[in-house]
Amino acid sequence: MNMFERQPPTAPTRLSHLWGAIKSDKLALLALCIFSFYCLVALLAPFLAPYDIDNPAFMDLINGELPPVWLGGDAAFFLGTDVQGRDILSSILYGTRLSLTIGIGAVLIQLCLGICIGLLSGYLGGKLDAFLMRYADIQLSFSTMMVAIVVLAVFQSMFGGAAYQQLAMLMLILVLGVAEWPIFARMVRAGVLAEKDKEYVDAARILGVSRSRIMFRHILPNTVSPLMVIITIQIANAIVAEAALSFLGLGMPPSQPSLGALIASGFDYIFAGAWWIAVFPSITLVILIFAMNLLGDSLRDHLNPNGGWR
Amino acid sequence: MALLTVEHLQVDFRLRQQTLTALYDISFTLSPGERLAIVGESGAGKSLLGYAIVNLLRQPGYISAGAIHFHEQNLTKLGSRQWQQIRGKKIAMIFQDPMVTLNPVLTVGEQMVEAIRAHQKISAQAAKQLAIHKLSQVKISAAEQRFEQYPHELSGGMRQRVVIAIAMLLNPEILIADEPTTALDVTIQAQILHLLKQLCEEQGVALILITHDFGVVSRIAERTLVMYAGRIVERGPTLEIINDPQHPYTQGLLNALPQMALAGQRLNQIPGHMPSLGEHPSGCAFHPRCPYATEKCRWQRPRPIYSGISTVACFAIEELLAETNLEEGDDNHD
Amino acid sequence: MTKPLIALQQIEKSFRGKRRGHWFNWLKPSPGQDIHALNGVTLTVHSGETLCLVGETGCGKSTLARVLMGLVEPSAGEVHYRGKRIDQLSEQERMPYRRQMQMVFQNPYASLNPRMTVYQILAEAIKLHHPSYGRQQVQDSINELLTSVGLPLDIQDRLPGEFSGGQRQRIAIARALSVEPEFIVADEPLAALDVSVQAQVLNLLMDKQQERGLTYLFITHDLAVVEHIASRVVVMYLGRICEIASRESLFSQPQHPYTQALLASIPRLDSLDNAPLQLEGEVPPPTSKPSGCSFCQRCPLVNQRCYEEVPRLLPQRNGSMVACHAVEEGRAWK
Repeated sequence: MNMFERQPPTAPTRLSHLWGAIKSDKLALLALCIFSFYCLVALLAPFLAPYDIDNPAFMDLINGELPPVWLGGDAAFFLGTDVQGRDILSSILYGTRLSLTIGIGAVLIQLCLGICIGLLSGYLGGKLDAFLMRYADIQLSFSTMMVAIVVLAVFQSMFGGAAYQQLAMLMLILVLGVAEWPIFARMVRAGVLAEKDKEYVDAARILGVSRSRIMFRHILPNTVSPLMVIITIQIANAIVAEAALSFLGLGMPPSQPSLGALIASGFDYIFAGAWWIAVFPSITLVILIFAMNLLGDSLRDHLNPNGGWR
Repeated sequence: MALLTVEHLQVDFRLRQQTLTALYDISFTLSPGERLAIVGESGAGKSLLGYAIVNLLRQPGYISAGAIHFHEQNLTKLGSRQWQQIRGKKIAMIFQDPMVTLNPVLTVGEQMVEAIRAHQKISAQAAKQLAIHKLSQVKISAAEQRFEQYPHELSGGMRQRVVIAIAMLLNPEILIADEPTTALDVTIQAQILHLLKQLCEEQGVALILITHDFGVVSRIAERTLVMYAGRIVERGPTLEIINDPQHPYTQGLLNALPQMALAGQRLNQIPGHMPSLGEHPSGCAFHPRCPYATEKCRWQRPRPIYSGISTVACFAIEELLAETNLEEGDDNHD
Repeated sequence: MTKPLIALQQIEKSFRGKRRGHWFNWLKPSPGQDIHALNGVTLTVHSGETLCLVGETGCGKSTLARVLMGLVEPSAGEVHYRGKRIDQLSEQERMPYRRQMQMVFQNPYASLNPRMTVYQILAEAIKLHHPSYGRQQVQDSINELLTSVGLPLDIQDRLPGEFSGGQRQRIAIARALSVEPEFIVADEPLAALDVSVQAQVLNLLMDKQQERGLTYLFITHDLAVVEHIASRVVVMYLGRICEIASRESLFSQPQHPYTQALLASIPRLDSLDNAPLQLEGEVPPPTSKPSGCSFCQRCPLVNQRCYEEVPRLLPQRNGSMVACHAVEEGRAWK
């Protein structure tokens, strides 16, 4: 309706708009709080954890398989210990730190690759576009997990366990990052195609603004809104993928356990009575993924211009 | 006997924090077969008025006061079941963009037959005959062929003709046209306006034409309402309003047209711009842009009075009338 | 005769139509239906004049502007600026000409980057063409520009979304003026604006022309605007020029049948009658290059020769140039 299109949008900056929307949406606010809490915990893990996991004294078989405090365990180990006597709370704190690092790192790689390729593909068009997009299709047709399993298994057998233990985190970030860039590239390309014929791009060209500046300064800022949604969901996906790989023994080594590796190491003892070794990391992981997806959904609702009136 | 009477209509928008009024105290009448134009710039509320009449206001807009009488029926009190008997059948509407009305995945014919058979119990064959007849009435050549085509195969002008044919299918009594020619080229615009006028004259349909273009108004309408910021500021016969506009806003609007200035000279512009919803000034809404504004205009709202030419809501005109000792006409005199 | 500022010679531009085919033949695209937007346009623009380009949708007027500005490359033909050929220049070589030629776009809602503040929009242009400017100099020129287009200085940190259409168009004009060009292409700069705001923007454009001695190529479909500001007028139809004439002779003695029909279709405020002269049909899609006159399908004066031979632009007695066999042969109106 005419009257509404003319009404000047108040609060034009994207962040303040989003913040306003999230503030009024209780569920989104909760999800944001949970996510921030996880990030905080991950950052401060060395200070928060009761034990330093790198300390050789951390592992003490005497304390093996102690149940959580409220089930009659030792007060020094709030969530109990695993078979090797490691404090589960400390392991979870460090594991969260690792999982989040891998998730965010992988998505950063996806984002960089995706933005550059998407911008080039969309703005320059032609054969480059056709080539890159067909390549993306081919890559997407292999499942990420399959690629990751193959690459990591080959790497492990080629360089041996010792080298792998050192490089595991870097490899996971790289593999997960490189495997899923097409998702971002496609999204960016779609945005670029919608924006590049707009008159403001023509105006910039007429002024003689360089191509790279047009791409990064003019077009990119107008295509990032939908990216924010996938960023959150992709971080969750990367964390889940990492957990799955670790569970299969292809991810983080037991000496530097991520949440997935913790679950894997505790899995054998679930039916032996020591359920807490696997269950607490699982709960941690599920809550994190749930909050991320919730956040992604509410971002989608609020950033979608067609999603209702303002 | 009026066909449509709008009385003190008010439309509000209920937002999260506040309720904004978009249309204030709108009253007018429409006689059978009359062609009425509603003129204003974007933000004046003219489209909103059209939507309000056919009950197509979208959330959060709603009619908060007033009445719309159509044949003794108060349209504001009808339920959605009763509206089906009126909208499309008695009151039809066409929009600026024909694709709002046309479904891109159905042929022109399918849409027309569907519309007919939704309201009348006739055979598909008879419906097709009727549809083709209506298509030829809107001067579509090779109507049988067009009947089989999809909307995207037609040109802009042709689509608008099809939309008019669909609107006229059930012989409505009122046709509301919201900027029907704005998206079209001048030569096509001339054709469509001519067609609309002809249809109204031949079939006795009353027309409400919503537009921003005085040129269009002058071609087709007998009577004109000028709207500004949700209010009717002037109404009267089209010719009189164009030749001798009374309200300062109407004067400004007409004087701003390039035709009104000598070639190469500066145009007579109205300073400022239409206030947006929620920023409507107190008193006379036009006073911040009005060359004759006085202190009174800032705080008091002028009532519509008959100036001898048209009915105007303006204190300057009121004073002028008082000075020349003219009898004040009654408010409803049109 | 002085050298023209800009000379276009036999410009042709066709766009590849949609290709049909599968994804695997992306290396060897199959030919689709091409769109012929411009078919041999020859035109000169003289320094200091306002050349108006008139025509309906699809006549190629916007494509012409884009070719002129180097946004698209012509398929054939040459563009000269002060005698230098500029259509084949690389981005680097074009930079000096970018300072001379600027463009104002139709839709002020799309022509300003919604994520850049007014300051950023103007500073980008200034810094690009004056790399030596310091912070203060950039700020000074921005202040000067904003003042000269009638905008307050305190709006610099706001985003385009906060402004009305008229204010946005002022910002767009300020951006075009920021590099101090001598030639500005205005592509329907008023089409998206309200009537009262149109007058403001038109006045601004005329003021700037007087102040800075600008040359305009003004593209519009609004003949009232043309009559007001043009010094010469070019009428285009389906990628070809029909008539080039001075404003006086075009409006007093239109020669080409299309020009006459166009003039007759302008809604005049002084008469309630419909145009006596109405064109039948609509502009055909520019998919096939017509072998004869492009107007032959709608022309009332058409004969066999018009279908077979492309008419050439020939000088007439009153100084205008007309491409029409009927005018050449002196065929009379029916």
